[in-house]
Amino acid sequence: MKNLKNYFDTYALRGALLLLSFILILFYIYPTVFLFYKGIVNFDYTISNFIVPFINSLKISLGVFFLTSIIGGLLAWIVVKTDFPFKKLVDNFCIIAFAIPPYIIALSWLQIFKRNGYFERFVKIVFHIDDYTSTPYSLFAAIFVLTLHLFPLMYFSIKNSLRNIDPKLEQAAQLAGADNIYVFRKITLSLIKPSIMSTGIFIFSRSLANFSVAALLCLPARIEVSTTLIYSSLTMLDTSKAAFYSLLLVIFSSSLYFMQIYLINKKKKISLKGSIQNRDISILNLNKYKILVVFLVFLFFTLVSIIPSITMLISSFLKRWGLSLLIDHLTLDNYKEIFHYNSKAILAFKNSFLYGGVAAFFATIIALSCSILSHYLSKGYRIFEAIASWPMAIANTILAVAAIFSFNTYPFKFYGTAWGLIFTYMVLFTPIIMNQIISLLKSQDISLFNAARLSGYNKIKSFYKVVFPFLLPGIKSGILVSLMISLREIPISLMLYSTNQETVGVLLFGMQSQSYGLEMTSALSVVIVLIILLANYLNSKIKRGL
Amino acid sequence: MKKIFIILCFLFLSIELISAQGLKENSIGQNYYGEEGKIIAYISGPATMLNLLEEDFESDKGDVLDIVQLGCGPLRQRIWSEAESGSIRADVFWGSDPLLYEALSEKGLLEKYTPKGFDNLSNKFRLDKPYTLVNERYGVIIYNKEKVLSDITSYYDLLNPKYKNQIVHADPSQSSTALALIANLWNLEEESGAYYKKLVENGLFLSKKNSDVPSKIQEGEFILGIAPHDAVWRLKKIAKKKKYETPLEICWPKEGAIAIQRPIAISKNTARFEKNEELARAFVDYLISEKAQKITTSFGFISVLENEKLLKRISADIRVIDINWDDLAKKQVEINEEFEKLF
Repeated sequence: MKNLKNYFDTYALRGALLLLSFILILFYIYPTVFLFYKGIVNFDYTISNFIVPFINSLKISLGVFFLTSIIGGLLAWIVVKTDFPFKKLVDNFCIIAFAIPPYIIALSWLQIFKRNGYFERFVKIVFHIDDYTSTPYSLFAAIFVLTLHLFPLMYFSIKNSLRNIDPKLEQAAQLAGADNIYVFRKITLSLIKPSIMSTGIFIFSRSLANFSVAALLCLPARIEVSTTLIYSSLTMLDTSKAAFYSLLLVIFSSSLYFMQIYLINKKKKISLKGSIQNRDISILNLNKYKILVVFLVFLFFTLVSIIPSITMLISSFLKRWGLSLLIDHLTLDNYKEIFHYNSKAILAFKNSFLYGGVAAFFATIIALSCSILSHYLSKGYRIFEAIASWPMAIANTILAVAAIFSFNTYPFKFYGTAWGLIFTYMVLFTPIIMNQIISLLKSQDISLFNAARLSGYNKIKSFYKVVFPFLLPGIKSGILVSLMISLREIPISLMLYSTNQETVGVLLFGMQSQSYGLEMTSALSVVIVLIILLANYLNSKIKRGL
Repeated sequence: MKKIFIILCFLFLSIELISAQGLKENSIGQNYYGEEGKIIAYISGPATMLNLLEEDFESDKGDVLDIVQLGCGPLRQRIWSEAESGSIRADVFWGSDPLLYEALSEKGLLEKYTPKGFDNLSNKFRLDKPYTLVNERYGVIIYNKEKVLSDITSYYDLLNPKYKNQIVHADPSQSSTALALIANLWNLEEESGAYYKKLVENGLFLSKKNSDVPSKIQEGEFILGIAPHDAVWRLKKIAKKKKYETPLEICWPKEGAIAIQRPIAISKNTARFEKNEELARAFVDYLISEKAQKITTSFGFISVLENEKLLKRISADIRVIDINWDDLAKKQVEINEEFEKLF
């Protein structure tokens, strides 16, 4: 530790620190403070209207956190710790589940459960209950839909942590006479707790900041949440009120962040395996339960991934959603329309990949720097992490408004240029990538780095050989997740794009404006999901080739 | 300390250099974000309509128009955020309803311009305001003709218990146009808000956007609703093109359809290039020309011109309720809050 500190205590470190501070101030603090200043100066500080929506938001976030932890944790454990045969398939299903935008999942939910939806038709036809009506709008519906979208994050995070647990620890406990449940509770769960906590806080905050699902599923049931309240303030042209409410959300989210650090630090550190290479994880043989587990896992994915995907696929071929499924009502026109639409579809996909890719690259560097500083250098640098994690509690619309406020005027006039979009995406992606890195860093022991140093590697090589491979899965999944988001993000793109900067989100919005219905949105979603799967497939092919 | 200062200066200048890319300033150094000979227009509306208008306008002027297409909500939020940050980037903006333009006008952010062809507008559209009305649409009753159980002629038909939990309306906290509709029916009965109180008791459902109202009725989720009429025309047009039946129908209520105009305005910017100023004005002139009005009416909007041919889609017998936008601008927060209390 001392060696490392000595190395970092150089001009190189000071330069890097200065650069990082400058970037954090410019892109993370300046826009939000600029916006919050407006909220504090102009608003009359009435928070009574905010309390009920905020409590509703908390209910959603807690529900999503709880369900994603159970589903993601269970799946990760099955994949890593047992001889479950279809591990790669589970990964792919999780990627599909996350690739489908949450509002598309919400729309699928509505297609199935709304009045005249598929479920109602099924009940009427099969059970002859003519007066049956279902109500798809509720707080639970929002929790369920957000869980279906976010559980893959928990799955990948816990999976990475489980794969990095030193099997000797579990084996030692077993040799000492502990049964499997005791080992899981005392060893495994303790070691993956940082992952659950950091990803959980992220999921909690993103659920708190979600607008589209709450607007679709909660508002019709007259359940207001904090983001819909903020949006309605913007609609009423009251930016000060929107800024003030956003400030409250960020304060709350930052408190959670520091609470998370406090809770993790209370736990005794336990040494983990330093590299994912040459691992020798003890695998539990499912034996006679294998078929049952396989059945339950695929039943789960059938319900949460396959049925919504098939619903989406069928809808994408309909002339109009709501029409009965007759050959006459099917068409390929929706797909033709996508690629003829202003001839902008190709440009939109290109822009989304380009802006998303560049933003994810910058976000990775920032996230990596903040995480490494606080983990290896000094706990005081956790303030960097805290600042870079602010955006996860802010609704995308507010991030866009903050970008307009701060980058439309002197001295930093990024607004209206592609950089405006890229930097705002970067701010959005940083907590996502950082979350992946932190969860891995917190389960790693610094002595592995020092051991590499003692073996003769210099510091950079030690980091590259020991720490970086350990972090690589987290970085990769963070970038993948960021790219997926850039392929479907609407509020930021729509508020910040200019001519020839159309993204897929803008394209999607344009199609909705054409009075097209769910059928066209479904067609575009199918294309997006296919592109993501193709990119994932090519990525794995390239890796194998190398 | 000196090194740190030098590094900070270098960083600041580098960022400034990047941020200045693609942005231009005019000869007198004032901020103007467009390039000479090209104007930026923020517009809400169907993309196909905007493409036709852009092509037609540019066929005469060349490649001079950059359209940023937005929805009504994002258009309001983007323009207002830009205004609050000190500079509206768009040269012209068209869409939403007059509430936004009234608010901007009050702040002195709109340029007063009387377009060529102003005299061809119908009397009621000739306003002495720093914005020009381009189209009108009407808040009407939209219903599913296959599911209604009686003739629909009045707003009061929506209070029929037979339609309990079958009525849809956009949420006024999410849509200013929905707020305008509510404001105009707020005093339908003697007691303020009594009509909506009864609607809520009859299970009124609030959708996020106005365009959701006809979609949800067409898809069979609801039977009736109140929303602007133009989306129904477009849905019918799509149904005809794709050869399927749509159950959507419009009722022009006997109490009157609520008129909602779509204005266009030029943002006030003394630093704008002269050429761009001319183009911005030419675009406003163009939108109230007969040629442009023909395009917009083919997408369901009502023409502002006093021209029989363009008005033939709407029966002359239709009763129309005109909104007092000045009045609504003052009362909008209060009405929204009162409406919220009904639930």
